[in-house]
Formats: sequence, C-alpha cells, structure tokens
Amino acid sequence: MEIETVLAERDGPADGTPGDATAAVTDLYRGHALGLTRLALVMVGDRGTAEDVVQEAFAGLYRRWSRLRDRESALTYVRSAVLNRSRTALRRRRRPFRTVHEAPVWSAEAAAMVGEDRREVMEALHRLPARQREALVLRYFCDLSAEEIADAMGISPGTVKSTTSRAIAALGRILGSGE
Amino acid sequence: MNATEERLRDALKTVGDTIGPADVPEPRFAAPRRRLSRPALAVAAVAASAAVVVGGAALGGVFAPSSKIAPLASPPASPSPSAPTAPKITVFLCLKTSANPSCDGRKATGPQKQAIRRQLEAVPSVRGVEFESSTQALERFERRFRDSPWVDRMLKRGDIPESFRVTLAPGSDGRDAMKAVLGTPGVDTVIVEGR
Repeated sequence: MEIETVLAERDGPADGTPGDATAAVTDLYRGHALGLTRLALVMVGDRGTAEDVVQEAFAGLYRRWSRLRDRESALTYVRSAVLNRSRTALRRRRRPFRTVHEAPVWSAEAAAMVGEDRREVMEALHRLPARQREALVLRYFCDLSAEEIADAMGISPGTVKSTTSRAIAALGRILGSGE
Repeated sequence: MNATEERLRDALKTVGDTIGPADVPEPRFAAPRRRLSRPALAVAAVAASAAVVVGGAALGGVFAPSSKIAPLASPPASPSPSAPTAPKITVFLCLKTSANPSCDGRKATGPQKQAIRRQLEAVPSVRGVEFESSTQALERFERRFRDSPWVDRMLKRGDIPESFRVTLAPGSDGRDAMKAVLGTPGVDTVIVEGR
C-alpha cells in the first residue's frame, strides 16, 4: 500500500516524465530484482543469463511504464517477461553454434554445491515441458496463488491447477524411475 | 504435501539461494534511451532538464534546511538589517538514479566533489561551503517526516542525494555561485533556499 502511495506521490503533476518512470521502476527493481533473478536462475541454470533476462525484463517494463496502471500489473508484466525471456534463452541454446553458456549451477561440474539429490530434482524438472516447469516453479518456488500464476502465464486459473497436478505427477514419475 | 513436492521445494530454494542480495547488479533499464538519434536526443535533453527543474524544486522544498535546526557552523553575524539571514544555495550532487543527462546515470565521484567544492569556494560571494552526506540528509529528513510512513519507506530505498550547502555573502542572490557549478560533472541541480 505504501509503495502505491509513493508511486502516486512521485507521479505528481509532471505525470509520465522519464524521471518518474526511472524512479518508479528503480523502486520496483530494488524490491523484486533478487526474487526475479532467482526465478530466472532456476529456469535457465546460469547466473549470467539470469541477470540478462531480468535486466531485459525491467527494460521492457521501463519502456511500457506509462501504459501500466499500478504496481500489481507492473509486477505481473515483469514476471511474465522473465518467464518468456527465460524460455527464449533456453530455446536459443538448442540451436547449434549459437551461444556458449555456463553449466547450470546444479550440475556436477558447477562450483555451487547443491547436492546429488537436488541435482536430480532440477534435472527432472528440466525434462518437463516448459509450461509444466513454469507452473511448478511459480507455485513451489515463488509461492504464488493459482490466480497469480494464471496472470503470469496468460492462462486460466483452472488450467493452472490441472497443469500443476499433471506436472507434479510427471516429476514424481521421472524421479521414481531413476531409483 | 507429498515427497515430490517437498524435494522440489527444497531443490528450488537451494538453487535460488546461490544468488544473494549482494549479487544483484545495478539496474540498467534506463540505458536504451541513449540510443536515440541526435535531434530526438536534443529534445529529450531539454525535456529532461525541465523535469530536473521541477524535480529540483520539489526536492528543494523537502530538503531545504529547517530554520529550527541549528547549522553545524554558527552563521556569520549579519551586519545589515535588510538581510536578516544569510542567503544560501544548495548544490545537489548526482545519484545513479538522477534523470539529469549530464549525470550520465552515475553517482558523483570523490574527485568531482572536490572540484565542485573548489569551484564554489573560488566564487567571491561564497562565505562557506558545507558538505551533507546522504546519511546526514536521511537523518534530517527522518526527523522532519517522522509522522509520514510512506516518506520513510521511499527513503529507505536510497535515493537521497549528497549536497553542498553554500552560505553566501549578505545581499547576494546566488546566481554567480549557481553559474559556477551548473553543468559541472557531478552536479545534478542547484536550488536557491528560501524562495
């Protein structure tokens, strides 16, 4: 609530000037960049790509600022932008000779020690279709409600529920078959 | 919650936690504006400086020192009855978030600050130059707006500029001091106090 007030105060009479957008988007960045970078990291695997994804998402938000109504819709916008750009980054990697990227932080060769069990889970998660993976991450990592997930993914809350339950069952099967 | 859900939650949290708050880089989102073509850029610069004047005035209203708070150095005794208080200007320094194009999205550096102080002190009508850090400004600000929670929230996000508080000779309107530093690297905006 306080944040909306701040945005409203900053808008003042000179509504929509570049300075207002910069201040407001910077505010949002300070509050959410960490969570969104972590979201991008579990999606793409390496920190460099995750940081780029988040910066580009905020650049998009900044360009669109005058057309967004409030902080909630700004957050929804930037969250879906992170998901979409993460998906694009992953797709780009499948094409040969395109980019050299770091091994995911959960891989055996990475410096970050996440452990064998978690590595297995992350690899299983990345064998799921993109939509299922996104639904699971938004639910179990971001702790969003079905409505919020629906907004971020552009699908209905009903579809979110069925996608999530199918995804968790598929994940369980992949993990079970490996044992 | 079943075992798969628990394992997933734990794995995601562990992977996410490999990035800490200190790892988040500074925002770069305002950068694409620099790619504008030249005429557009000139228009943008004019628009931005207009915004700065508006912003500076608002900021000045908020940051102007309250007469209730005693200055650190005692003000020089005023010999002239027509000028009961010494005129003052405040030079606000650049922040990373400053909209002023001459700030270039960078905070004023140490050498820039030293140069600004030297330039101010070289102006004949300048009697004293005091630096106020963003921490000092925050403290003063918090005392003044103790009862407005939203102001408090806004400031914890670190958008407070450092400044030079400049005391002028009685009768001076501050224009010469203002001219000496406006456009100098590291200077965002200058305001004349008490107007």
